[in-house]
Amino acid sequence: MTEYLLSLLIFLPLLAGVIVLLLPKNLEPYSKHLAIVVSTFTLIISLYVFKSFDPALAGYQFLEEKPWINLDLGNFGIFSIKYILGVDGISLPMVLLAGIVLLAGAISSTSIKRRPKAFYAFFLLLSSSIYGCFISLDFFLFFLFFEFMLLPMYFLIGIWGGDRREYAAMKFIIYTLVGSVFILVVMLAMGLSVNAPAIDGRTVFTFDFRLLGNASNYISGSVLDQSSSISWLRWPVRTILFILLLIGFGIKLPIVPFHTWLPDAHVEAPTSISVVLAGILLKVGGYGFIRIGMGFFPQEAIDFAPWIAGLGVLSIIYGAFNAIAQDDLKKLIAYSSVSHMGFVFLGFAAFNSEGINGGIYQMFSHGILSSMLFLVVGVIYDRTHNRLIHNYRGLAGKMPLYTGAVIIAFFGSLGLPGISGFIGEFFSLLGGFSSPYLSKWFPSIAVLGIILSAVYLLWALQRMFFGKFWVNRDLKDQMDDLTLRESILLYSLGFLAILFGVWPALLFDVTNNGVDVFLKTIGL
Amino acid sequence: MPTDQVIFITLLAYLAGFGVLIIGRKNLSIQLGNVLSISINTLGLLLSFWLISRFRETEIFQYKWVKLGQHEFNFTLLINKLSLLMLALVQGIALLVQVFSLKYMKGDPRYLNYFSYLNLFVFSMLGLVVSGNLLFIFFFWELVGFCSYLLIGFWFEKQSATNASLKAFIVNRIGDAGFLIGIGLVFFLFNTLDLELLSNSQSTAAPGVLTLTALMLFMGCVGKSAQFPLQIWLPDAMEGPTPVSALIHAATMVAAGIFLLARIDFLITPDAGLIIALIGAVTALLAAYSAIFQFDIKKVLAYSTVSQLGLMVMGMGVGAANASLFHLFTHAFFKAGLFLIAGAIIHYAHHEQDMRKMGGLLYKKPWLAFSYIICGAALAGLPFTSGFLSKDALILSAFNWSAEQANPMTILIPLMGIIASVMTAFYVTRQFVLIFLSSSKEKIKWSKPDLMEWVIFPLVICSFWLLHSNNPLDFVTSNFSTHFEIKHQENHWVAYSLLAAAILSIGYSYYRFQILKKDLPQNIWSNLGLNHYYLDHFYVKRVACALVGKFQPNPLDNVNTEEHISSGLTDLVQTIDQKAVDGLVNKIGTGQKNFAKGLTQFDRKGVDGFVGLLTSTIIFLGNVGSYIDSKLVDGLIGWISRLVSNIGEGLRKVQSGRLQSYLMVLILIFVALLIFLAIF
Repeated sequence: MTEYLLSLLIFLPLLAGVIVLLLPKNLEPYSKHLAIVVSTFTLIISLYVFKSFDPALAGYQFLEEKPWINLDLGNFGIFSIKYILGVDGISLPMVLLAGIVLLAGAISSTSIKRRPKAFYAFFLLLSSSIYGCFISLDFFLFFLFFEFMLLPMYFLIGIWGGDRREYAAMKFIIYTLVGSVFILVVMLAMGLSVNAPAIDGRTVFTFDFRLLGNASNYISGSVLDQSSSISWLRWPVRTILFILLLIGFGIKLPIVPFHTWLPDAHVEAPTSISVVLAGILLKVGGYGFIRIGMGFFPQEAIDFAPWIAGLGVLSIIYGAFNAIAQDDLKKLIAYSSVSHMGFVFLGFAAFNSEGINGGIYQMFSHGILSSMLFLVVGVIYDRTHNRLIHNYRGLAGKMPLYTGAVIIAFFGSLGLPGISGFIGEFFSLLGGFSSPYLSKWFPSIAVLGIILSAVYLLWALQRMFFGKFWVNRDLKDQMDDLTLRESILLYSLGFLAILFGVWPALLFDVTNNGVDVFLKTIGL
Repeated sequence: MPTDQVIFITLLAYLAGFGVLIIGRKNLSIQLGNVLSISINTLGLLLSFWLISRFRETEIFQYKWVKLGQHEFNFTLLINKLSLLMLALVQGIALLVQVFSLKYMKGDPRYLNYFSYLNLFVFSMLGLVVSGNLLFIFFFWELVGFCSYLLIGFWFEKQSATNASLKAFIVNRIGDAGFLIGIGLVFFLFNTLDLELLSNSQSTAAPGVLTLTALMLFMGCVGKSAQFPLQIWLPDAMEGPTPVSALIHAATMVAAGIFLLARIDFLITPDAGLIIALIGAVTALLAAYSAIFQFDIKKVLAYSTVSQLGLMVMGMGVGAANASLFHLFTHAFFKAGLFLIAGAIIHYAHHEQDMRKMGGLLYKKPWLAFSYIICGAALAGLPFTSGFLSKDALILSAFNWSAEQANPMTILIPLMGIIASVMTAFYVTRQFVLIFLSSSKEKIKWSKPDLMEWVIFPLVICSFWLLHSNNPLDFVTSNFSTHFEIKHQENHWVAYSLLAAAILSIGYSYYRFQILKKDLPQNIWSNLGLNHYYLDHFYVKRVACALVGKFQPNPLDNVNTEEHISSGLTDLVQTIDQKAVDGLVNKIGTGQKNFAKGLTQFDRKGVDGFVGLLTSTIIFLGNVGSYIDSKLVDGLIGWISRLVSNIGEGLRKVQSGRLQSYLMVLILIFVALLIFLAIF
């Protein structure tokens, strides 16, 4: 049974999606129950995988390998595409995070009233492809899932979104497709440059992640051979392809200046979709960048370390400045995502254990905290259908439970020790300071981000929650405190944020070895 | 029982106290909450006395926390004399403050919240003093800041209180950002954050880098201990309940900066020390001057705290760490005492804080007056009080340090300290006259001393010399000095001159305010003092407005909403983001769409837009080999443009109700793709 666990993560939601779609009209209300049950199951599976993963072993675990496509290209050789699944210390936290965030998303989706059947079918399809992205070990398979995430997302925003949903959905898909094209180019180039062990004396081209990382597998003289001198406009092709990856995954992360789809998508998306989008979808960018960008182009990545860190720092500061200027709470949080994901790039660019572990931790912690933040916005939006900060005042007096959750989410997000955000930021910064590849200026400027995050979050907190209670008279005055469902959801996430804030070894024990192996493979 | 267990029991007790009180804030009876909170504190205090009594040598305990690569980040307990002293000091003051609060906070709707925050604060503060590495010092450092935020803004319905808490947190964050950079540099230079390892390691780095590192760490102290130029948050922090001011913003948390400097004093290079001393002295002087002109009873004490902290920082800078700690210790008692006295008066005066409306309390509240005289004398540094001993030690150390320096200008540093001390004597007397002597304006009745007044008693006792030294006039033989050696200092004439000047200034102050009844003049100098050099004004009106734009209360609303009337830097960035960055994207998008429309006119017929797209995607993926041969660029443009318009088309159809079928197609294709490719 355990050897198919990872496949289960992909096919269980997929199957459930089909079932939901086939549900007769009178059973339609049960689609949400099915979605929640399936999400719970996948969370349990990912927890089990997390628990039984042995961090002491190097390499991938829970491997599943099946031949899939063997494309015979005649004299040219054989194109071998495999169905390979597996997890290591870098992808495992993301799998766990996906489990948590998708369950939170499924539960918070219950407020969706319009066409629940279609909604949950898309949602489950999305879940399936998200898991697929993190566990596939074949570039082709990865790309398939990577692409396939976009379509359900497109419809989820485009149909259940706000007033400008079509614009936002369109922008989202075009932006990310452009990124995908870049990645596609790299994928094809890699596929044509890497040799698997020959079959019957014929060349076998492979997309296997395990082979792509090893320089000796590259066909000498091919485009991506590390010693190749093929260049285009006097730039080595490898460098160009690395830049394509940087942009491709940078769009997803998102990194300034490729971030403008994010605020629009978030503002228009329904709460639960924002949760999934910020909580897990953005992490695909970070994960892809470290696995593919840094893993297969180590020398280029190291050469570009100041640029990567620079983009990270730019995002931190730029995102924070934008967040300060927002009056729409959801937009504020969307920009804060841009700012916080900047720490991921900063940490990665450090190319040391502290930095990369810190970057991964930051992704995980941001997943939990941003889910909480978007749920927080959802609470207020469900009640009044208005998210403008200046319409609210003194909610703390009227909604103490809500305020408690907001304080955990906000302070966690601004990096208060004891909550997970601090760990990610601290170790990313520490990595930046001790990295031989980066100037001390990068982390020093990034530190300004922690001041700015305090400014925008606490200022919003002060304006909305403190003072005398008042809600704009045009809004329905139904400011009741959290319902049981909302409290459970918010406080469980809050509990996780605190748990991972005081006990980071829970995650670091898993990532540390993965990162060690990773650094060794890329020759550091 | 091993020391670490005792420490953990103490810490966990406070944490549990916080948890129980915050969860049970509605259901728990107030009496039960009181008993719980006070008994935790008493237990903790007794345990700390026990630890002190059996103290033999420094103990270090390591607990695994995180290991990354080759570096271990452990939770380290560092139990030495300093930790134990702070452990007892913090809990001692906290106990008195809690008892005081029983009456002071009575009837508050969020009474138990208050006590739970106090528990969290004591937990964090104790964590800070026992931590043996910079990571955990920073960890608890931020947590005490968080508690301070909660407690300053405890009455969050009051706009001024929430403003003050916001300001306190953000200003502290500025300091903390520097602190964090300092920690990063320490890690870079020494590869460890453990204080014990740091104190034994030598760095080969250039002295300039070491100085920079020390100064960055000092930034944390500048924020938390309210040093120039970040001192502006502390006077505002007085918006919190007065017992909180006594505990957090006078005795313990603000002293954390001094404590930090004491922990890392081996990292402070002479150059850094000079700058630290200078900042301390400047702060002491500026704040003392401001304290003279205040009318708010708590603001006087707040500026006075800033000023005294400045003296301690100056001491740290000149290398007299133990003299500074001595002052920290004595200051904690008399300043907590003064704040509690102020709290009691505010309570009796029904939350009136303006000293001009007070007076004549000498006969109505003689016990408070007596307490004030003792604590005030200690603050002013008069003989037979604790303040005399510690302040002398500080000033003399600074003076003798400057005498050894090559640069004669360094004499300015002790000189500023001396002037600040003379001013201290002046404003203490002024405050005493205004509250207790001048003609009575308040309708406060004489009553027997109640709980609040009795609580001040221990603090008054501790403000005498007796606890600290057998000889009231010599700090070298003090009890403190036997554990934390303060060297004998030459040039005692400086101390005597200071004393003479202080007494003169007390006399003048008394003469002016009590005999002549002449208030301070209203002119630019007094306004400068009253408004603390418009520093706050500068930060709020200039810096903050430059950042976020101007806001003004909305006249149309009866509530306090604010209208955005002019834009700042962030608005500019936002405009750039929307107009330039996003605008460019939209421009490209529209251009593409128009281009695409033209292109797709040809193959529109017969091909259902969306399915067509997916089919072409499959063909596209399937014909990977031939795709490479075909012109990449052409393919790309065609693909994107078809996509752009097709999706628009598709979406329109989806809207018109054919969603289900599309979704089915989508899933079928996905599954088909998997199976089909597998067979193929």
